[in-house]
Amino acid sequence: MGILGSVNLCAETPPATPAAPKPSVVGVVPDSVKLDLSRRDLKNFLTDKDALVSYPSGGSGPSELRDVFTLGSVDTRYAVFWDPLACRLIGILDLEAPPESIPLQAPSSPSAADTTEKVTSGDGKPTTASPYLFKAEGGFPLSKTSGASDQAQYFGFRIVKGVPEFLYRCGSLLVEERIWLDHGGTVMKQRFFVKQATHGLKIAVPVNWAGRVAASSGTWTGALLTVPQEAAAEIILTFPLSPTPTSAPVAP
Amino acid sequence: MSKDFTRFVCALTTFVLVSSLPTTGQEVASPDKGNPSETRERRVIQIAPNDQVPTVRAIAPIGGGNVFFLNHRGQIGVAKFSPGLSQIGWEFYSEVKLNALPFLAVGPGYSILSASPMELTQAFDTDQDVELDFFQAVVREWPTRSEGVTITAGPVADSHGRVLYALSPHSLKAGEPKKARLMAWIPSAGKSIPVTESELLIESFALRRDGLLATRLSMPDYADGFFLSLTELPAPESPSEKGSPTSAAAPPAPPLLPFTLPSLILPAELTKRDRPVSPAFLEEDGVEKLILTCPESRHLIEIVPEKAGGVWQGSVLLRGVAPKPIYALVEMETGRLLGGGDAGFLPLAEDPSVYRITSLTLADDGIVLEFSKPVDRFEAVKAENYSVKAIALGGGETSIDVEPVIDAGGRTVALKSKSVEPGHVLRVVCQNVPSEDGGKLLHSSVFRTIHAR
Repeated sequence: MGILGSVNLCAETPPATPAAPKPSVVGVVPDSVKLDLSRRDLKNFLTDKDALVSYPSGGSGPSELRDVFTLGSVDTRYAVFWDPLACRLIGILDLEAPPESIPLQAPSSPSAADTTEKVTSGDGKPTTASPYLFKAEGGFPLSKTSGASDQAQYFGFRIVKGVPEFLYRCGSLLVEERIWLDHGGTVMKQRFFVKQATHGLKIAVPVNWAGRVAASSGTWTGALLTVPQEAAAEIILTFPLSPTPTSAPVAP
Repeated sequence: MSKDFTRFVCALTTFVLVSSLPTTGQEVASPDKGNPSETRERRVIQIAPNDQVPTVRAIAPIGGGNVFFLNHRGQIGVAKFSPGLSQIGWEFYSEVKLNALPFLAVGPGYSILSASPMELTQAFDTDQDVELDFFQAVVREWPTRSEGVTITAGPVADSHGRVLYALSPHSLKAGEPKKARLMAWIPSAGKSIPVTESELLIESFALRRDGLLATRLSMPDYADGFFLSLTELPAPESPSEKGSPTSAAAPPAPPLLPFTLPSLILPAELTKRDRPVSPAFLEEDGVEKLILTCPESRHLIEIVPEKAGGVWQGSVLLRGVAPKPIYALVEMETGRLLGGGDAGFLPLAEDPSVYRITSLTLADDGIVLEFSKPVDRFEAVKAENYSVKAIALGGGETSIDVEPVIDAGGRTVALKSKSVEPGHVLRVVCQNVPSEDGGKLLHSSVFRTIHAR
């Protein structure tokens, strides 16, 4: 079979590290980390009613999120979740943060080391801390783009230099969305390559990320990024996961 | 890589994983389905890497002594074997961990197909660097998917270029009884069609070259055995048939789907109550057999299918006890069975030193048992050393008196008796029939389901 023509299967004992690593994002971006990519069933951690519309049980949300892509690495404390049903980034989890159900003993002041999300009650007092730095909220992130629809259709994914690139269609838009961890795992990057974006792009992020996400081009209005047509083919968003300074976006 | 990945997963399971990864004895990932840990300390469990041997969960032969395999983490690998099934080497073909069912099939365009409960996935090595880099979701939509219907088994490739997978029981119309359906994905058309229906969930299945389908059906409330169905799948309609003048004038009614009914019961007594998995057809000495593996008991179950009166039936017996737990079985080439489990790959050739019952057939005047070695004639000729019962499929059992007659070679014992009527499971126990050299039977019981004579 031709596919195995170049497979080296002569060793009596397989190597402990099975295959030599392919040229990965490490070779292009010095601080990026080698990703571990898996698909898993997760407990549903989403709470936003509009973000849950994509799921069969509607606003109440499913008990499980099925077959979700999980990106992580032993070199970083963060895990990133991308859901092929909703075709979107749905979460970023700090694995070292306390779990969501633990009430805070007392309001704590933001510190450099504190990366957990603070949820405030109506009176402004913090009630719980979430280990999720990012939770999907609102409709489909590209839904305000001309030609987009509310429901995206997942097609597949490919591995580009060790980085997953998710492929889906949304209305007339053909989207290639790449996600990777950079700067030693302290920064998450999200690259959109959109075909047919003839009237530019509009990308929404969760409100609590407004002002904290850097974009390779476009202008922010609150949590909505507007990218003109001439720059719409490729957009890179940079999410600082810890207070480490970030640099300009670099495509893997 | 294994060590690193496990550290990451252990941290992850603290929070969110629903399904624990199937683990080997070496890994102690303890997924927390309930409340996450309250500690701030990142959970890391140090373990020894276990990828010195692949942890095999599915095998797909590709000729030339090569196989693709799926490991317990959902990674696809490739391994090469000598003609005698000695392993020459192996390596990963993808480090992506798919949420995969324990099946793997070779698809068109040198692709590999796997399935999760939610998706049939076709993977390619597009840049031919010996690593899968493109994973296409070829089937993600089916009726009632939003109501929780999932893929329960597959993929399995058939000889017509189709890829079969099973959907959990569902109704296509309101008020209709729920049926599991075996679907065929047709790559050229990019669509799926149903090929069989079943009242019971399909846990696993295998397909013989001639279209005989063996299906392990789930019936959780039945503790005494496991149902297996044998169904002949019709060949798909060819394009020329579709374009015939008759069909142009008046399209013929679509053929009725074969309905998958339980054909055989695999007694829990033979499996040690372990669930038999990974059915694989095997042609041995001109006889077509079906082999299943019970990973926990390590029992290998052998079925000799037989068609009588248009119905499938057959005998069920213990073929052997594997030295290690076997999770996956495949016939590499005629008569050569390869198994796989946590200890890697294992050739499963018949051990000539094992003394066992190799066949149970019916004769006009009784029952015929074949043994792998000559029997001890002194004991084998005694009627009291046999217990024969006919268990009615509808309930109730009858003891049958027998008169043993040993043939000249000593490997065949005819148990002269009255005829056993259809609709029964015949259970023959050889309580005290040692071999000529004093060997004990691997298992004293053998079974045969009789639907017709």
